Amino acid sequence: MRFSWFFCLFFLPLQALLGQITLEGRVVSTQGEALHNINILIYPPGSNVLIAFAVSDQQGRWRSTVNSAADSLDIEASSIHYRNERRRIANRSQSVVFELVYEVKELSTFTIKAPDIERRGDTLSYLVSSFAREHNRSIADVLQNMPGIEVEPSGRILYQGEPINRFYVEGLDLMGGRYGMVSRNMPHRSVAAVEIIENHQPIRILEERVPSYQAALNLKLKREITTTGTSKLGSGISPLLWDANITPMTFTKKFQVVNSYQANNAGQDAAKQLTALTLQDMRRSAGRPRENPEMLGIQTIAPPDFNESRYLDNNIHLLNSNALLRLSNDFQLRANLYYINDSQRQQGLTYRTLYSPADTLFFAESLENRLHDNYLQGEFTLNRNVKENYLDNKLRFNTRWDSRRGQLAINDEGLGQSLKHPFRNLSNDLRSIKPVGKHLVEFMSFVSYDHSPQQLQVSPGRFEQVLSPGGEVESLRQELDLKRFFADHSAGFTFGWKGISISPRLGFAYRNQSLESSLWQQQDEQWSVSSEAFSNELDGEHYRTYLQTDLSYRKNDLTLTAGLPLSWQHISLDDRRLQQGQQLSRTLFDPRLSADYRLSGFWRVRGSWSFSNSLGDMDGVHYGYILKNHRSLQQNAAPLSETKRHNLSAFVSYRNPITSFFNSLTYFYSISDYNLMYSNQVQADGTTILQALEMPNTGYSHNLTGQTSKYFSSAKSTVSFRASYSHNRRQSLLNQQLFETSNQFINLSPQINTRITEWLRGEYRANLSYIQTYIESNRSSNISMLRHFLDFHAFPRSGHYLGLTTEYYRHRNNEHVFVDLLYRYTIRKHRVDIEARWLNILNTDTYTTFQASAFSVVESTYILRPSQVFLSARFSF
Amino acid sequence: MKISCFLLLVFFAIQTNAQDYLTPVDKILFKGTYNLWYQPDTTRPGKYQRDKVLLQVGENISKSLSLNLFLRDSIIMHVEPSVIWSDMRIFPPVNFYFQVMKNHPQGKITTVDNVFTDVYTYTEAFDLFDWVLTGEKDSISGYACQKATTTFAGRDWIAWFSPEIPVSDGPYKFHGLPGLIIRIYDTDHHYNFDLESFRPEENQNNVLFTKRTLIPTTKKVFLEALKHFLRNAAGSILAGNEAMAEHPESLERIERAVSMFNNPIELKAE
Repeated sequence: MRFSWFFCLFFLPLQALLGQITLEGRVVSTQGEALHNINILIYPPGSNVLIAFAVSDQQGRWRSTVNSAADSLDIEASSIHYRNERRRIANRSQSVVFELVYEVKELSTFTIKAPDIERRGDTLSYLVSSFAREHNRSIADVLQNMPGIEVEPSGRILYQGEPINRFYVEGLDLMGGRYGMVSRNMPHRSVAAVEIIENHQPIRILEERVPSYQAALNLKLKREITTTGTSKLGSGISPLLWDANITPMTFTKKFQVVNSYQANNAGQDAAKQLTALTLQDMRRSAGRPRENPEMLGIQTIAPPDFNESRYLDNNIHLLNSNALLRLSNDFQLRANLYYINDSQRQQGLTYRTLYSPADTLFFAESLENRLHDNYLQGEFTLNRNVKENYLDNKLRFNTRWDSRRGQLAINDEGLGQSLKHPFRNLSNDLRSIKPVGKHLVEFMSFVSYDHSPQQLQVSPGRFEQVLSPGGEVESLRQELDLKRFFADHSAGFTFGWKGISISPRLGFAYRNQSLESSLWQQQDEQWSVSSEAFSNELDGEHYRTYLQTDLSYRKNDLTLTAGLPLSWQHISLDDRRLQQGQQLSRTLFDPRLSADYRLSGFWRVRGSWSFSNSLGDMDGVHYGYILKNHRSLQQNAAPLSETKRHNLSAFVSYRNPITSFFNSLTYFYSISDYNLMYSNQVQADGTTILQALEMPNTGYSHNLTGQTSKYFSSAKSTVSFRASYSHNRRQSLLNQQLFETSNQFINLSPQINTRITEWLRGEYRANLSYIQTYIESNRSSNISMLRHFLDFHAFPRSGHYLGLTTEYYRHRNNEHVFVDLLYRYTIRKHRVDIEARWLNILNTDTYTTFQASAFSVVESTYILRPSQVFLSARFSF
Repeated sequence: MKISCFLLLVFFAIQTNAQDYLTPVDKILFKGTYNLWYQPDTTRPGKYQRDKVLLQVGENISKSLSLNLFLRDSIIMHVEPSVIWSDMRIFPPVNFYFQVMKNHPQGKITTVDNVFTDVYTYTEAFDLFDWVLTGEKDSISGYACQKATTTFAGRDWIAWFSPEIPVSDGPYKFHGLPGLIIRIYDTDHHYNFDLESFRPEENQNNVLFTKRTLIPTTKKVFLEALKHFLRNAAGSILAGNEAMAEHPESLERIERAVSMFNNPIELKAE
């Protein structure tokens, strides 16, 4: 007995081991073909719990090991196309061959319901109360907690990782893309539910035609009326500085308002928000008149090319009001109003050097300007967005009234300049989509009218030798009145043909303008109008009919695109007083071709060629002289400028992401044929008389830029180097001398960016520039500029940011050093940001830059803001 | 409704334009859709995102990819379906770029996947999984399923498969069980695939493979490159685009956004 127990214990594992058997075999069809992908299922006899399995390979073979105590096994062959076969076999290693009979099987459809949040159609609804936490305040805080929704630090809302395309409150879109103002300041207690509308196509007529994969978000409010807001306040010293932002808002289901008041004298250009708002489609605005025809100006100093808060001496107040009203018949009316009041002061010095083969002229000027601008802009949008059609009409007005004064000292002689250039503009922009046959046709219409009466006064008077030879002019006053009308209408659609997508657009544009100007001179305290040569009464008309066709073709790694714009243009200019004018008719074809090809995973080449004919802007032509600024008297009595330009570009890149090694080389070449030459007549006192002459000439321009960068993972650093070279050559006419000028520009920029620790990043970069000017191949000037930048960015703990930036500039013999410090603390829980800034720590007071053109070099020294400390806090109420 | 209308358009596109961009490698017999709930960020447990993963089963070859990648590819092939508005965002957001081709080439699994904007490809042996059967059985949506476990790419996986559907396949790379995988998840529940639908393909559609130029590599190198990018997105982006250096805070933000996806499905190469 004992013996047998021992025997059992001894043999049990062996027995189990003996129980493991190997089954193998083949699966073939009745025709003897090997069958792959056949499931072999092995069960204990009579059971449906699998204990082993195999899947047959390409040769129909299979093999499986089975561990079972049973004396027999059930084995089954199962597949899609063959009848299942089940057999009982003895539990021992053996070979089993299945010969399966072909059978057409019905595989019934089955569906598993996904565990979903409450869903109806494409809309997902989240109950705010069930996601809100104790410390949450705004709706943006609660959005963070909802699965699938994320809010970025910038305020941008993502659904499933993609930005939402509309932010509605009660189905209304008041703010467009600037919804952060609402989401951050709307208390969550006012919101009943957040709705996510998946695959939201905001233009309803496109709903079934153009898919959208972005979601929209809609806030359903609890109460009929909700009022809330936010504010930011900051203050600093030397002198007393302030920065304020107060934004109250009100929402109802039919009417919504958001207002904002912002003011500062800390060098923040709040008016920038305006330009960022009106981000326009480049294709649509092409061919429109320049937005702001500043024909006259006072002399200013070129602003430094760095952070504006170092030099902008301002006092700005901005008022913004947005309102939306829901009308009957699916119409919505939206109004966005802005008012800006801004006072700026500019101080500086300029040194101008003019080079000609004969001599070199040098002028020194110091100036102080005071600018007072008032700007009012209103935009009224009427929108109807229904299944049958789409209509969006924007009526916009903007008006400016201003006064700009400046005191100049030219080579120690004083001069006063003052300018008023009020501006009024009214425009209407319509976009409509309607079905025509099987295509959707898009109509666009743009109509605009503007009026700018401008007045420039300079005293003492200048250009005495032409205005009053021998006499003294006490003051000069240029008066100018420009009225412009422009209309552009077009229709377009897109269709595909043999893999090429073709988008034709047919349109007609018309422009009409009148320019009146006269020059007044004061002599012996008497104002009198100057002779007819200094006046204009010019009417202009421009007709343009165009057919734009864009083609694109894509095959594998090759993309070809072509633009074939064809236009018929007619321009007529007529000056009644001077009895001068011109007529011009042109058929212009401006083809452009480009090819992009990926040679392999790492190499890529691109090339393009374009030929453009550009007709100059009518604003540039005037038969009489105009005093543009205190030192420039201009006449453009020549034919309209025409430029024919060939552009060639080539690009090659090698990017290896495995080794983090990136390189590219770009070459750009253009040849431009101009019909006009501008003659510069520089007087001894630095004033210039500019005349346009019909004299064909050609300009050449080359540009070569190379770039290389590599990431070193061991040092957690990116090292890069960029070099560019450009060369421009063309002819100039200065004081009746025609000569060739060329400029050479070399720029070298090494950079290293390193992560010093997990929370500290450092960056160093340098920038070396060399500008050389040649007159008839003799070097006339040679400027070098050297800049060093060293920055540290620290994120010591979540919510804290400390930035130190240092800059060193060396231009000729001028040296400037800047050091700025910024600390920001974000209390996420209370949505409060506290920020401390210490700008221009070393109190550097001036900054000097150089600008080089064909034959002149201007050195500008700008007086900067003094060192300042600024503390600010942002919070909601 | 919108989706189905669009899908029609997409299938039309495949039939007319497929040869330019994708090559057919097999005929689709069945198509399946899995709901994928995953945790992109391990530091925020319980914060799930959802995606859909398709399985196209052919006679010899099968393909698995995300629904949005499939839709995006279809749009690319179709160029512009009478769309005037080229500036509109007509492409769906793609969170997963993998395309797993099983038994293509024969006896191999080919994977095409992205790291940021670069497209890599690598192959693995067909016999990737060592499944262990458990005796546990359950019924999912009326189909009798059995549980099997395996270890793959640094995670332990639990699969429920149904021998009633004799298709030895599943989402992503998963396959090799004697029946369709109905549900598969890792033991930490970071990646959870649930079958939503599986049905025979009625239209004559093909399993397609990309003709684009890819960067050939190995899975080890690919996972290195991915890990490298996820750990130091800023450095990798800077090397390719140095202008970003001027925006340290947005760089930090991108890095933070990338760090929110720190949980790839495959943690290590075997």
